[in-house]
Parts: sequence; C-alpha cells; structure tokens
Amino acid sequence: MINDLNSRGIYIHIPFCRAKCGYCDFYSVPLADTDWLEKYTRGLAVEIEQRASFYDGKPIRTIYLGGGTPSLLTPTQIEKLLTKLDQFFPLDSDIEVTMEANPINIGQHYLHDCHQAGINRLSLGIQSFNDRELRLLGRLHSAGDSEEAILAARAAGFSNINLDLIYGIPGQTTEDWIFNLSRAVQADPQHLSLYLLQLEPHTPMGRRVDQDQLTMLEDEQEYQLYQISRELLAEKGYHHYEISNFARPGRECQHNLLYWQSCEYLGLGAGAVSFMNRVRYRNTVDLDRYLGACADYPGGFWQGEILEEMDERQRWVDAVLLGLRTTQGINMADFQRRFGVDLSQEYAELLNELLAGGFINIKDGYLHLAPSAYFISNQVLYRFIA
Amino acid sequence: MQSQIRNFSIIAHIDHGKSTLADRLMQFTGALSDREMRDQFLDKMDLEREKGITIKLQPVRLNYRAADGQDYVINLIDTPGHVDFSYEVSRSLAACEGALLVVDASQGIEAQTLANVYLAMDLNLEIVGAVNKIDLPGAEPDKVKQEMEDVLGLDQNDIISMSAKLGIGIEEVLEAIVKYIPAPQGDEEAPLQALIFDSYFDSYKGAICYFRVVSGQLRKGDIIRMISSGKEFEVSELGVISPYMKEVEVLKAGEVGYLAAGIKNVSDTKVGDTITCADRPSTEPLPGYQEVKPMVYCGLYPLENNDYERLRDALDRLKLNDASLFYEPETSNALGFGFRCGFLGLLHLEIIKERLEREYDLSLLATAPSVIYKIMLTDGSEMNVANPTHWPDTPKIDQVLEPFVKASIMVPNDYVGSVMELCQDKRGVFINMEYLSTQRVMITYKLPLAEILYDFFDALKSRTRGYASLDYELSGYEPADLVKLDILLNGEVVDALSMIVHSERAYHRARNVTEKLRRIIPRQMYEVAIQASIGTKIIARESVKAMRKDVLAKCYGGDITRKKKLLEKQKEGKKRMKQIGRVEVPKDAFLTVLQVGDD
Repeated sequence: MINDLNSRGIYIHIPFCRAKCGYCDFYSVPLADTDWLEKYTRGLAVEIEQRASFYDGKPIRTIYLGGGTPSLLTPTQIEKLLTKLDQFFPLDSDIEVTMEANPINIGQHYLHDCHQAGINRLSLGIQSFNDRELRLLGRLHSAGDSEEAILAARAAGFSNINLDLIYGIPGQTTEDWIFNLSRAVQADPQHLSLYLLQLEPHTPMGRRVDQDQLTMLEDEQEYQLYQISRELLAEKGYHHYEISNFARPGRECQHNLLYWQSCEYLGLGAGAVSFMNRVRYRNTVDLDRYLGACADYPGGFWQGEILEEMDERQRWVDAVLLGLRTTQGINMADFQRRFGVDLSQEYAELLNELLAGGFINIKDGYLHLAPSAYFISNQVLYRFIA
Repeated sequence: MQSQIRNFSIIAHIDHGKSTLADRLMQFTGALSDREMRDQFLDKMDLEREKGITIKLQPVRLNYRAADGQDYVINLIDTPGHVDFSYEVSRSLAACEGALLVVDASQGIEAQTLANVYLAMDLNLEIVGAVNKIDLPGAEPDKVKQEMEDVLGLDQNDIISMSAKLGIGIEEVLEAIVKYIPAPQGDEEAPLQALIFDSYFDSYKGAICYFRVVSGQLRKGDIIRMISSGKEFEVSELGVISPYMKEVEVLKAGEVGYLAAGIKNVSDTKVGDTITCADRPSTEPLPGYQEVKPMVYCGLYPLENNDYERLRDALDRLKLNDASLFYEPETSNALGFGFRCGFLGLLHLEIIKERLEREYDLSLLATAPSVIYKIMLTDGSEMNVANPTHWPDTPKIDQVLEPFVKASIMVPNDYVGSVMELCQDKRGVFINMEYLSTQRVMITYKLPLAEILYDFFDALKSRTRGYASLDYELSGYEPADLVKLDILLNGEVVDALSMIVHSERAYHRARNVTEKLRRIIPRQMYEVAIQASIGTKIIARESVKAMRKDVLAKCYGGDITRKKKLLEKQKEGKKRMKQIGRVEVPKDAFLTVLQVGDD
C-alpha cells in the first residue's frame, strides 16, 4: 500500500445535496434546479484546463469525487469530467477513481453507466442499517434502499466498494451497533469506514445536543463500540489501516492514503482544498464567484483563501500528525530521506515517554501508534507539535 | 509654622467610605479640581479599585483656610481597612497626632475598627468621630453615635454626621481636625529625626521614601544617614504630595513629605527607620515599629521553570512597597525552584500573587498556605516549620506547638449561637462575651490560627448574613495534636500538597482533599491514583480513570488544517497544567484543595 510519495491525487468537490443531513459539517447547498449541475460541470471543465496550464507534470494516481452528493451528476457529466482530466493531466494507467454516492436514486443502470464512464471505486454513504438512526441523522434513505444500492453496485460491475457507517448515534446500544456492523459485513464490501459521530455545535444535531434534546453516548460506551468494531472486523479479515478505516488487504483507499502520507493534492470545485508547495488553500465556496472565475477563462484568476503556509518544520510536523493516523505508521528512514529529519533524535525524549507508557511502538523502522492509543490518539499527536 | 500643621489618619472599616471621604477632602480643599477627580484617587493600584479596598496608603497634603481665617496644612495619611493590613495602619498612625474615626451609619462599629481605635489611643492620638453614609435608607446615625460613646468614650455631641458621597459634613470634618487635633511640637532647631513610614521603588529615581519630620529640618542636597544601617545618601529630590508630587526646598519638624536619594538597594529604606543628617546627626532613633511578622506562608512557583529569576526580581521590587512581605528560596520535588513567602493573611497573599502576575507578567502557582509550627524534638532541640515538607518524622517529635490567636468577633446578638458553634467547630476555646449595646455583642475566642486561615471569615460572614466582623491578634503558641497529611499521585508524594492537620480531623480532611483532587484533575492517558497518607499509612484513596476518548474520527484533505488547529489548541491548554511525574495537575489545584468549606 505504499504510494509513490511524489505522485498526487485530484479531489473534485460536488457541493450539492438533495437535503442537508443533521450532522453534516461539509460545504454543500441544496440542489434547487438540476441545471446547476450542468453549469457546475462546465465550470469544473474550465478549472481543469486552467489548473493544468500551471501543472508541473507529476503523475496523478487517484481521483476522488466527493461532496456533497456526487451521485447527483449524470453519467454523461461524470464522463465529461474524467475525459477532461485525462486530456489535461498525466493520469496513471491503474488510477483509482472513487465516487461517493448516496444509496438513493442510484439504480443498477445508473451505476453501470458510471462504471463505464471510468469510476472504479464506489463509496456508499450507508451510515446505518437502522431506520430510527437514519431518521435521527436526517438521512433521506432507508435501510432497504442501502441493501438495494449495494446489490445494484455489484451487479453494475463494481468490485471495489466502501460502506460508510456512523457509530455513537444517540440512543445506540451495543446490540444496535453489532447489528449494523454485521449487516455491513454480510454485504461483503472491500472497504469499511466507521466514523464516530462528532457533532460541530453549529449543525442542527449539534444544537439539539447543546439544548439537551439529544444526549451523546458516554466516552466509555463509544470506546466499547470502537473496540467491538476492531475485533469483529479483524475476525472477518478486514485490515484496520487507519483510525477509522478498514479494508480487505490491498483494497485500502489509495486516495485517502495519499492524505495521510502527507502527499500533495489538487482540489477542484467550489470549496475544494489543495495542498501544494507547503501551502493549503481553498477555492472560494461561493458558487457564483466560483463559476464567475471559471467563465473568465483564459484570463480567470483564482478566487479563494490560503488556509496555511508552512515553514520547513511545520511541513514535516504535518507529515507526522497525518502519518501516525495510519496503523502502519511512519517509516522513519523514508521520513529522513524525504524531510531530512531523524525522528528518533528529534523526539528522543517524547518517544521514550510514549514507548514507556505503551502508547506507541517502533518496529521494523516504523513508528506507529499502539492500538490501545487509537481512540486517544489526540493525546499522543498534539505532543508532536513544536 | 508647626501651629498651622495637622497630621491625621482615617480609621475606618473596609467599605465604610474612607477613600470616598479622602476624595471629598481633596476636592473641598482644592487639591484636586473636579476635572482631575476620579473615584478613590489615593488608591493608586488597579487592584485596589477593582476590589474596592485600600491596600496601600498614600499620603496627601491639603491646604485649608479654616473658619478662624487662618491657613492650615493638613496631611492626610490614608490607611487600609482590612485585618491583614493592620501593620500598615500602625505605621500611618505613628506619623500623626490625631485620627478621624469613620463609622458607617447603618453598620455601626466593626471589630477591626475598634482594634485600630485602641491602637490610636495607645499612641495618644486625638480621636475625631464621624458617622458616614447618613443618606442611606438604613442609616441610624443616633444609634451609632450612642454606640461610639458607649464603646469608645467619645462624646456623641462631638461626632459629625456626614455623607462623603454627597459631600455633606466635609467642612465640619476639616474644622474638627483643625480644632481638636493638636499641632506637632517638634524642635525645628534640633538634629534631624524623620520617620520613614513607607517607601516604594521608582525605576528612574530609585527608592522613594515617605516620611514625617519629627524634629529638625531637611533640605534638598543634604547628606542623610539611615540610623539603623549608618548608610548615607544625598537627597536629590524633596517634596510633598498634594496629591501630585511637588518639589520643595525644605521640610521642617511636623511636616510630611517624600524624598529620593538615588537609593538602589531595597534594604536601605527600612520602613520604621529614622533618617537623620550626616553633618549633624541625631544618635537617637525614633521608636520604630515592631518588626512585622508574617502569619501565613506559602510557596510561590513560576509555572515556567525558567521564570525563576524574573520572579525573584519581581519579589525584590514588591518588597520595597511592602515591608511585610517575606520570602526566601525553596525547592520542591514536584514544582522545582520557587520561594517560600510569608504574608500577613490570605488577602495579602492573594494580592501579592495577583500583583506579581499582573505587574510582572508571571504565571504563578501557589501552594497551600501554612502557619509556623514550633516543634520540640526528642533530642531536646526546637525547630520552626513553615513548610509542611520540613515536618520531621513522627519518632523525632516530642511535642508540637501551634500558633493561636485571640479573635474578637462583633455580631448582632441574634447570631451569637451560630458564631459560637462555628468557633467550637474550629477548635476554638471560649474566652468572653460582652454586650456593647443591647443589640451588639463582642465574642472573644481563642482559636488556632491555622483554622481561621482558610475559610473562617467566609463562613462567619455567611452564618451572620454579613453582619459579623472579625479582628484577631496572635496570642501565643500552645501544644496541639497535629500530624502531617501527605498526598500521593500515582504513589509519589507531592510535597507541595502536604498539609498539617489536627489528628482528629485527618481522616475527614484526607477524604475531602482526595475527593476534591479527583474532580480537579482531568482524565489523562493513564489512570491517576490519588492517595492521602499519614506517614506510611494510606487513609484515603480516589482515582481518576484513564481517558477513554480523544480522537478525531475524520481527517481528510479538506479538513486537515482545521483538525491540526484543534491539536494546537490542545497543546496550548497544556500550559495551564503543571506536570508532576506523569500526572498533569491544573495549576490552581494547589490552592483549591485547601478551600475545604465543610470541615
């Protein structure tokens, strides 16, 4: 699962949803009119050309269509985008192309056409197989829709499927979660992302918690659910490769690994974030401004904000914080070659302390979190910040 | 002309309106224009304004044309009104011939006021009485005047009714000062004797002394000599405060002023020392003050270890302003290098700590306050212990003596029962009860100083709905059955948390403190065992369970910057913690554990 650390990924943000979920903190707008999708696709095509004109030619290993709800796009629109990317960027021949999809309104026919258009990995936002939990989360689909979507995906030819599940939902019991997890495993996906529900205060669900209308689970309960997941999925042959991610060996998400290996990426679309030359920057989230900038092609100028500009040290600390999220951890020899920093010296005291406490391990040249520390990983990670 | 000079202090309980009165006197005599006026002008420190109390005295010179047509110079020396600062009151009084006693018309005389009036009477000061806040709805000036006559022997007909807030009775006060307070009678031709009653440090001029010339005269350019040390300095600046510094050429017997003489060393301007002239010295020092003795000690440690030198520097500077502050270096296994500091009381402690943090930008950790215990050892020697860490092992101890105070509590008679109950609770021994009037009672108890340190005053106030007032003086040392209670975190004694407790209360205290620590110490990566022990015997135990969850579930490309900021914030939060062994302890834990309200 080692990427070439020089290669890059492209993320494309599709900021439209039929309705916003109660826990969602990502940038999206309700889709009022499908005309927007066409306009937006044209805008993206322009941005692809603009960005390509400044591109340095390093190979692109992965493409990820995220959202929002990318499955609102028509197969034709998807094909147009992928063709455009192929035309303007040096895409690897075995490139991983993921699309996120909501398990609603995606029949076998639609998925087949997407697959034909070039999508080879499908990430389904299942979240739960329990209708009470789905309603609480504000999802539009039912458990039945999810079952159908999974079957349809497979029938459409997808052999690399991820299911997103959420745990720690208010009212969720251990039995509820085991039920969810078992249903997911029965569907035999190649990949599972299990996300602890963490609410931002400004989301509708976050507000309900603040107002005591909803009660989150106790830390101890959440921890138990996490432990159960780890055990159950290990038993079923899934490799726990990142704090929240599990995969059949060899089916780890290449695009996300690229983030955790602190590689560079291009983010296209409104609100998308790019990381190049020690700078993270975000395209404007304002749709009109985004489309306006694209319409001005070829004289269009970039609209957005710089999120962070790192110095040399911040750059490699960034790589430490991200790298330790993976269970494999950081290859210290590679790290030294890449950043010129010997972690065992730089953090000698801290590493000893963490080793003694059993929070990290160093084995075969890799520095990684001890499994017992995954769920308290912030306690370990923040100590690496200078 | 000494006959035209009047030197006086104001004696008043905290909140009885003393600083406001000082403001009005300055306005009335034209020392301050209305434009220059701001509330509590003489309370220079921000802290004083915030807390609404006077910590530090500031002398001021007023020019007043009296009803007899003559011009007078009136020197007012403001005094603090809190029990912790009675020492400063005595310094002010020693520089005066009279005192203005201000009593709140609805509150009546308070214990502290009474103590200060007795102090003034001992110094043969003339007392002028005034009842303040007569404008307030609950005011009972006649009743209070009666009380002043009964308790203090003042003639109630001579007591002035006033409202400093509204400016009523201000002229009467000035007239009474001129009429009743005697003029100074020092010999202007005798060798110089001047009493230093305060000093502070100015970064440009060096130490500034406030003094009262008792005899002789002092000129700018004179070579002065400090009688206690024999050190000599040339007076570079001489002046009065009216209320701004104003230079003068000469100050003669009876006058109050300030001087600067390029004095760089803290210890050379000892408050209570006598200044004389080098070329015609007086050999006799004026009766100085008693060397002030701190009653409460605690350790002050910089949160950042490398701030130690800055803390030392700051303490050196503060000591100039505050003769009662005591400090010496100490080390703690848990906290590193710091200082054991002595204070007059808890308010004093709190103020010093706050001033150090504010004025010198330090972040400090204070350990539990302690009194000084005298310990008779089995080998016949004796030792004083101000830091529980130095408590000897039990087999070496023959007997322990602890300081007791004689506490006078004034209270409306409805609350007598509940005050006595509180005193019994705090190991008090009843001495006396006296009716000051039909309503007001003075209860006298002997109490261990350690018991009244922490929260006695708060408990007293809450049990008497704020009506009780307290004064106390050290009455001596007495044997007591005391033990050292240690607190252990993960099996290691944290020396900074050790405390001395009465053996009968040790178990209760141990449970209380461990329980409190369990609530204060946040969950961390490890389980934290909190234990309390006497010697090797564990008598209470609690634990802080290991943290279960502290994780970022999602961290993808669009979100990395924000997630990193969360980690950075966490890193910042750690600065409010003190690492002891593997345990991170919030810095206020050390004081908080002592605030045991329900003992």
